[in-house]
Amino acid sequence: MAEHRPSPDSEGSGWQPLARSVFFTTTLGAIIVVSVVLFYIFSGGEDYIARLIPALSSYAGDIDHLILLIAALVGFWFFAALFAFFVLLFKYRARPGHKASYLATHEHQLETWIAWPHWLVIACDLVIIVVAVKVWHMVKQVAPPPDTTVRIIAQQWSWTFRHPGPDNKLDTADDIVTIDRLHVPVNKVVHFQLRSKDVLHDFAVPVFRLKQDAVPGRTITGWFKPTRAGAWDIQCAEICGIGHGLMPARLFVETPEQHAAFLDAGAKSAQLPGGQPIY
Amino acid sequence: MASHSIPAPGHSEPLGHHDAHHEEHWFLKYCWSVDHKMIAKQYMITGLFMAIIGGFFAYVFRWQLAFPNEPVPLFGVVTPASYNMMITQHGTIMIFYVAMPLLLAAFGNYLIPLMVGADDMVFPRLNRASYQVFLISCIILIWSFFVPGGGFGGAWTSYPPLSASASYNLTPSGSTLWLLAVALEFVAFLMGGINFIVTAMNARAPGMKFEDVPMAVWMIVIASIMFMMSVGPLFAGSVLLLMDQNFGTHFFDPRTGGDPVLWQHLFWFFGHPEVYVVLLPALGFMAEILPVFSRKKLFGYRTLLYSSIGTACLSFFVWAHHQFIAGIDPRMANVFAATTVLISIPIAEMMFVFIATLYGSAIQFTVPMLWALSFLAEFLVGGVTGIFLGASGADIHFHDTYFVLAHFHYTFFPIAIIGSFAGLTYWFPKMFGRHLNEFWGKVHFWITVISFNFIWMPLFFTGIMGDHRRIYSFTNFPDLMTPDRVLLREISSVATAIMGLAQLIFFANFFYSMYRGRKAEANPYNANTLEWQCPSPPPHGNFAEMPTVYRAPYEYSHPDRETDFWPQHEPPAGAGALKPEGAH
Amino acid sequence: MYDSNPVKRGRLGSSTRVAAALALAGLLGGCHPDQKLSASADRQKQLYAYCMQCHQADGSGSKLAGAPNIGGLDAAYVELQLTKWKDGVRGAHPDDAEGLRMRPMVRTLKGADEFKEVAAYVASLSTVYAAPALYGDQDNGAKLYQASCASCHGAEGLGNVAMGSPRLAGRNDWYIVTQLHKFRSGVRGSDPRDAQGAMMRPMAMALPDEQAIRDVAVYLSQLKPKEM
Repeated sequence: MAEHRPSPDSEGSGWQPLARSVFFTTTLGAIIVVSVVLFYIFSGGEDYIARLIPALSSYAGDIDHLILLIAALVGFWFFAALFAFFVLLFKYRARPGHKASYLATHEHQLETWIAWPHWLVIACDLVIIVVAVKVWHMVKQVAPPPDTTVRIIAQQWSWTFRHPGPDNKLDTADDIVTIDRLHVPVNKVVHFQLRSKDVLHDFAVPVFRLKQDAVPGRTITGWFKPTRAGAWDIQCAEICGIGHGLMPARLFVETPEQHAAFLDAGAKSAQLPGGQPIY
Repeated sequence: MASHSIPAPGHSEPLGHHDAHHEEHWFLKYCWSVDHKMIAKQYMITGLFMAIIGGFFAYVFRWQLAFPNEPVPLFGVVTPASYNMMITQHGTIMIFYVAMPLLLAAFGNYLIPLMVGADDMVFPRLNRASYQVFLISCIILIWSFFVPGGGFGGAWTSYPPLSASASYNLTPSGSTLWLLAVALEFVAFLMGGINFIVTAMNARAPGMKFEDVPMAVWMIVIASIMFMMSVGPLFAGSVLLLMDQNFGTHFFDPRTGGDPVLWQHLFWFFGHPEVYVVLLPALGFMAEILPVFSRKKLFGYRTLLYSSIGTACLSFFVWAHHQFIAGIDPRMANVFAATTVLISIPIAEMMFVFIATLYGSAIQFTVPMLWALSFLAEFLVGGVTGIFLGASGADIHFHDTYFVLAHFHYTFFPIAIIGSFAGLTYWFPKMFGRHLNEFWGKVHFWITVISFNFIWMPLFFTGIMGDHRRIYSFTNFPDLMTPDRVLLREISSVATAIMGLAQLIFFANFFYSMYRGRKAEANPYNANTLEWQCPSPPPHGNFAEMPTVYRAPYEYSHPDRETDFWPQHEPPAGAGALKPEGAH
Repeated sequence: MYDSNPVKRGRLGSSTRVAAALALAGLLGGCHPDQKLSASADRQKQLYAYCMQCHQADGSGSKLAGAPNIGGLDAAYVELQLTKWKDGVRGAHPDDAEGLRMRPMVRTLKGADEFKEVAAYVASLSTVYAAPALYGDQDNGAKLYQASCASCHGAEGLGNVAMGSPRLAGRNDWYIVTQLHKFRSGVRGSDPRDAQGAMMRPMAMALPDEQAIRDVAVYLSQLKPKEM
């Protein structure tokens, strides 16, 4: 029976034009990919994401830049594949007088077909990995020296923020404790110590492109540097029970004058018994 | 039945009823059967039923998100507790009770013996037990919705300490029953998986070499092996969690030395391969459907096979990309970002293989083919958006936003829904001996696929704009209530309702055609694989004469043949089928 | 922060939503009869659904959730407490774990009208008595109660609407103990805007020790007023 198996060694009719078109497509693709990378290295692309959601921390622009770089690279593959897909659908639709061809080749010839796009995909992947790790390293692995430090304590289903008060030191008598309202000065490096009293929570500030889980039993540190004054949402981004969707907090990024006023008001109300929240 | 010299186990097991032609009692036939086709149909009907529940939940919470603080039509007020319960159960149901039973169990059971030319599974009684355990698991899951406190609402990932303590999740019975149901479901699929692997290994028809095995069988076998390798840690984890919930242990409780992040590792070590466990069977269906309706040999059989094995292996080394910001050592993220992004290589190769198959073909736009083609286009979106999430730096922003959900649904909807519809419409004539209505099939296809894109395209953007998942109402977040965000959510929710309604067309078509459809012949599509060589529907024991295999499964439009197909079992001695001048 | 603004709507008009809802309802064979919840009783019940996960359908509460039985509380008292939560007067102390759990739940009710409706519903439920969860001497509790508490909360423990003091007869003993501790430590009632809390805090100090608190709590949890 073996001699009647369709031999993989017979040269098929459809092979040569396919190989040619693949070669040209991938060469063209390589040129496009390289130019896209160069374009994003030499241009500030972060504005496109900032149109959807403001970018208000020192590293928000870098994260947006990474997102756009990935968008450009995978966008090329996406549209190239979709274009080829629809062209093929149209060109090879069944119709009277059209017959499918039989493609019989060596498997290693098929490997040639796969090899070109394959190496291109790897090249794109490497670019993405390098830039992603770079951004990650800057945001999560290293931090500039702090100008101030706040403690964030999450619990079902509220946030407690412990501000260092006028002496800029945590765990002293002039600490200002608030519920669901975080006050930070603009253009200063803020370190946070994130804790949880009960279950997992997540301190997420979309306008800062910042997110960090709070794990009970641990203190997780992180940092951000706000770049514009204003009031923004803090969300809990890790399900924490039935009140998960109901624990919004508000972030107040304050000018030096506003922040001084906040510290003043806090210093007065902190005299109340029981660590009275200021609002 | 004795036409070949070496009886494979699947052929030789004497089960009595194969030769007994008396009409069985309906209970034995429909509820206590060991016939792989009946068990497949049981899985299929159960899976479709669960899909209705899961889909209804999706409609309810989508409607709540778009139009908060109003009663949802057909449901009523959605409270935070019922919202959490519904998102949790939607995820659980769609993954464990729809995708797994439909793609793996129903089609695995139905197709493997037919495609490899066996008369049944190697372990038919184990197969029956598998379905029965699965059914019990379904019943426990549905029961858990009605116990005091309600169903579990800690998300399908079930992270402790929330899931470990009733004082946190407020569902003392619901969370335990949920865990029990899921654990039983694993047991059922382990039993099924053993059967799939052993049958494909040992019960193949004579002459069927490894590269003559249809891709669907390969994929289901690889998926079953992956499931077996990955489920162990999670199964152990669920026992620990069950003990934390009920017996006062503290494996995941940090107050007494436990570690909540441990569960995340156990869960995602299973959870990520799980995505490929359901992806591979769907890819297998595409590899069956595309060649048949493009009348063309599958491009790169080995490439597809090896890249799916590569994907399967690589998928065990990417799990922590779900935990980038979960409090793991940040240095670990760099490793997992690299492995995650690299998984794009085998996946891209699979997509190349499918697209290249279309080159030089003659494409018939039948309903199964439309589903298969839409699978490629939609899965492409899911695939490329995954890169954003695997890149650790970008994931800081995207983690747990609707961008993740949109990415996930652009992979999972093609897998679970499009894949199932492709399979159901393609093998329907074989299963029930009748054809589905082609016109209504196309109407259903277009409404479903178009509304799907309207559901999830807007949510990519709300995700970038900061909408986080599992939040029952965005009205408490001033930044998230801008008119553009609200509009995007409303488009998505209305599209969800439309897609839900479109499924009525499918169910009507499905059940009407089952009894009244046009009669189907044995091989209506002129396909090559063995399941089309027995009658439609196949009788007990499947093949009147057990087949012998002479060639690979995708020999379409061979230049030496007058017909454009070449069934695997057709003996080469039938020289009449060969053109005289084409013999070589 | 409680945002009492009405829900902002997108550009997709209400007519689209109504049409889609009608299409759904029509095709699936008619919707709930209680879709139009204009009647006050239905609306109250609908709003109370937000409370049920913790406080239970019959208002019997859940110790697991730290939620007391609330059935039979005076409507004005319930409304006042909801308003205090909304304004951050109650349940806004970092150490008030149960209060901070209740705080976001108040966000499910939009504004004073809904507070009134749900308070009326709570008042219409009857008090569900629970067996004592703590050990306490009821006779001693009765003596201490009459000496220190009865002037405001009434000899029968029925409270005093004019003073804003709630009905205590039949409240869970564990809840009374927790609240007394919170009053004593200033976790509850120390906000300058909390007039009733200011009155209650010194009274909570009047009970001499832990066992006295438990005695009173157990006594009250089993106290059945004669009117019942």
